[in-house]
Amino acid sequence: MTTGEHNIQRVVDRLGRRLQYQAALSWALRGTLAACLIMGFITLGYRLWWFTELTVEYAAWAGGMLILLATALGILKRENRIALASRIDQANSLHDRLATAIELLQRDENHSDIEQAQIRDAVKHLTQANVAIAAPWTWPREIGWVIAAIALLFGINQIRVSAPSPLPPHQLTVALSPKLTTTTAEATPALTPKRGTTAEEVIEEDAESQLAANDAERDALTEGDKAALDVLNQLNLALSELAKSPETVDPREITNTANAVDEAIEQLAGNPARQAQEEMFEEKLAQLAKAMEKTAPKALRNPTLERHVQELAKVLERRDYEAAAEKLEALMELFSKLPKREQERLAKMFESLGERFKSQLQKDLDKLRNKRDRLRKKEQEQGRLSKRDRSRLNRTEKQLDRLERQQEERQEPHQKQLDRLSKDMQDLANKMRRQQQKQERGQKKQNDGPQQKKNRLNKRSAKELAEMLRRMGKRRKQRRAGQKLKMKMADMKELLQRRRRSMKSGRKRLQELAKGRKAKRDIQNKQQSMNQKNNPGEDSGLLLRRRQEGRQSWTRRNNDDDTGAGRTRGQMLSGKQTDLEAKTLEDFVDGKEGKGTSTREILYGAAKQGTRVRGYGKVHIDYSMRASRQMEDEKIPAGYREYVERYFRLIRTR
Amino acid sequence: MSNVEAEVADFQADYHRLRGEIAKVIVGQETIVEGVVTGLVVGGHILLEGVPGLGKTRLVRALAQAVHLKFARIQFTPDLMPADVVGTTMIIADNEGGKQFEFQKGPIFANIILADEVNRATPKTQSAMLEAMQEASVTVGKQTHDLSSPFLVLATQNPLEMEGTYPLPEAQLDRFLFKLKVTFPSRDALHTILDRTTGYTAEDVVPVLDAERIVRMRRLALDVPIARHVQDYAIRLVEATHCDHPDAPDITKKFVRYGSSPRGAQSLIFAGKVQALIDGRFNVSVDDLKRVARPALRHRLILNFEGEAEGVSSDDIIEDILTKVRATA
Repeated sequence: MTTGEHNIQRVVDRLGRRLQYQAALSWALRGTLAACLIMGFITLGYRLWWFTELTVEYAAWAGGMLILLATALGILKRENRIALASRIDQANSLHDRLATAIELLQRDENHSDIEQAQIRDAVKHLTQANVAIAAPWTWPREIGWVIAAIALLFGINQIRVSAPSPLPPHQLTVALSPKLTTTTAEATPALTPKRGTTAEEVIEEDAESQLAANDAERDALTEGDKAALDVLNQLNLALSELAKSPETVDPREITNTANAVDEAIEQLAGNPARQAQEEMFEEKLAQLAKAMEKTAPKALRNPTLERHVQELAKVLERRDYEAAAEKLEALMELFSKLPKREQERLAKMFESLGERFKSQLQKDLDKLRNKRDRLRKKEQEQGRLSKRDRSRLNRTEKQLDRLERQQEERQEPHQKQLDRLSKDMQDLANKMRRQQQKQERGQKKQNDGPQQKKNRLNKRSAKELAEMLRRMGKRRKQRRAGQKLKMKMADMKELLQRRRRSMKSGRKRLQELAKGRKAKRDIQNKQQSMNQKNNPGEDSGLLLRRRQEGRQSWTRRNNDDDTGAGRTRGQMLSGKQTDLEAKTLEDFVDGKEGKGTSTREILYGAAKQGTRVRGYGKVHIDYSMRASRQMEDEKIPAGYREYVERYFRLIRTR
Repeated sequence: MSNVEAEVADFQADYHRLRGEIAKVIVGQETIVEGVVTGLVVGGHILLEGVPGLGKTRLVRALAQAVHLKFARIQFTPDLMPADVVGTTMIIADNEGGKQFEFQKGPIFANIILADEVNRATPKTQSAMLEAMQEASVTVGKQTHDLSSPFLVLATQNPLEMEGTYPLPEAQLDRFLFKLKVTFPSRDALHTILDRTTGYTAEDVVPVLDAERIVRMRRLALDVPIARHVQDYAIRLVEATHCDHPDAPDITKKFVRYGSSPRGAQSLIFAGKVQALIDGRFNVSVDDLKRVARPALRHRLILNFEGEAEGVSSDDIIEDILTKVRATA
């Protein structure tokens, strides 16, 4: 191969490399775009409490790998030499000289004179080949998307969602709880079919006493809850007045009260997010109780201990937390009296249950803490740590610090509580173990002092758990009382609305009745005047007599206890069944004044709808194509076919 | 300069000389002249279409004079018989007084045939030219007579006056390398035409090429190499004219009934090779194929009724195909 031929290949290879770099950049940007989107999603999850910081870290690594992979993929994409040469030819107006030369060079056979001349010609024109024109440098179009994705990622990173702080117990429900016990009990009949009447009675009796009681409790309430209580009072007053004299109550006032009740109900509903968290925690506790109930027979093997644990599990499952606290305390009392092996079993059970309900974050934290403790212990034993261990310790401490902060800031309250519970249970198990060890040592030394200390430790842990359960029980009671109050207020509101509807319908009936009487009077007057006109000689006394006779006969029929039902019939508006002509009713429809549609316009409109206008050209195409298809399907002599085709050619649009 | 380079240079020079001679008589119409010369070099027949008076016949006569070849003109009429074209066997008296049958060659036994108003003859007569155009031979009775090389048919037809004409069948149309549309000359060209033709003196056309030279030029043209991707482009162009082909553009699918035959691709390549040599190159390029695509394919596309009714021309479809089909696959 001559130098010139080498040069052709070198130019083509240069273009290939240039395109490879461009493709690598383009693919790298695509990878970056994908990585940004993934990171954005993970960061969003992280900011919204879904993922841990470790997940973000892994996602960052994965994103980096994705970019590298995409770049490698871009580099590996190569075009063949002929395509590259053709690209240079097109860009530099070389009329496929280089592509043909490359192809001829790739052939192994001997080249003819003209082929050799072609290669020489290509070499001669190589000076015109500019690679930069063939593959001009342009910013990949993905760059805009990547910038947008980075901006999005940055924006997501700025999201700060603060954890809802644990709220104090709802003061309103506490303040109203004694009163609610009576109110709720009395409101129960209001849910029966006769709820309207019963509730009215209850409210009438209760309104004044409640108002008196409320005054004493008002001071303990927050401003918002005071407003809610005012609405409740207002509602009570409105209902009691309504019960006494419904006609004096203004319907608009009832509407306003109902609206205010709506707002009060909203307010009394409290923080739904917090309620949901609490319910979730309670659900987890119920699961824990179930697990406890299930594992107790296998784990404990002591009927007395098992019974205690089962009872604790049952009350926990029933969500009777105060009873659960008592049961736990009783269990702890029993624990100190148990033999060593059973103490160990109970400790193990608590430990395994605690481990099961621990969150991933807590598990990570425990791992890191163990690691840190191990390294510190090593440091204490050896005096100093190696450089590598020192850096490991520092790194562990940093991670631990970060995770602790994360736990503090972002973990959901119910999970926090669960972790705390799990930790308490494990602490309790550890303390139980330590107590056993000390007991053993104490037995050896015949020393009773440490034994008392162990009992104290044991009781303290149990006390903490029991306290937590009591708090939960109290909170649950408050929440249920609040819900009852809410239901009660909703019932009251419904009662008000019903009353209002009935008042409206009553007024309407009265109006209709009044109208009916007037209409009857008018008909009677009319008939009377007509009779006078037809029978001028007949006096009004005769008419009166006839009317009285009619009334007497009607009274006679009624006195015979015969209502006529089933034997008589009313006025047959449709006439006799056999009389076809009578099967009609005369009716009149008054015309409306104003400009109507004229006959001409109607006809014109109908004509417009009924006809279609289509371009001749389109019709011609349709017809001619139909004819063409038909001729293809059937055996028609060529001469006739030509005549048909010519006919359509002649009548086509010009 | 090696032999091949010299030959190509000679080819260019001869081509330009020939064009120069024709240009003495024919003013303007460069595309038509180029097409006719291309046909002469590669041995492809040409169909010239245009209204009367645009110089079609004159162009063919000028070409025949410039190449120093035997020229024959056949005026096609409805009563023209095949024997009038190819020749017939006649009873001829010999010197001894006896009589014998002897084949008398018809006008087709020439190098350049002008088939004037070819669509006026009956299909029977038109078909007499089929064998001659494809095989360069004529069979009369049981005897086949070879035609002398180079053999070139230049047929003309008038797009108007369709009454009493017999449109060329597809099989015969396909045998033409190019269909060239002779258009009305520009104002400047008309001035020149009038100046040249209304005076007393007229320029004589001098023969510049002979049959041997034309055959050598043809050999050189057929030797021009073509890259695979360029050939592939020609194939894709032809495929794009078929309405049932998946890569065909929408316009083809809508308006074309039958697309080009493989002869269309052959014509593209032959003409592309000549174009490359005219341009002084040793290889066929995509641009060469684009340049010859219209005359090489326009008579091979058969439009459907819809296409005809819409007034779409074959050139419109080819134009669209050229824009849609990419140079590289």
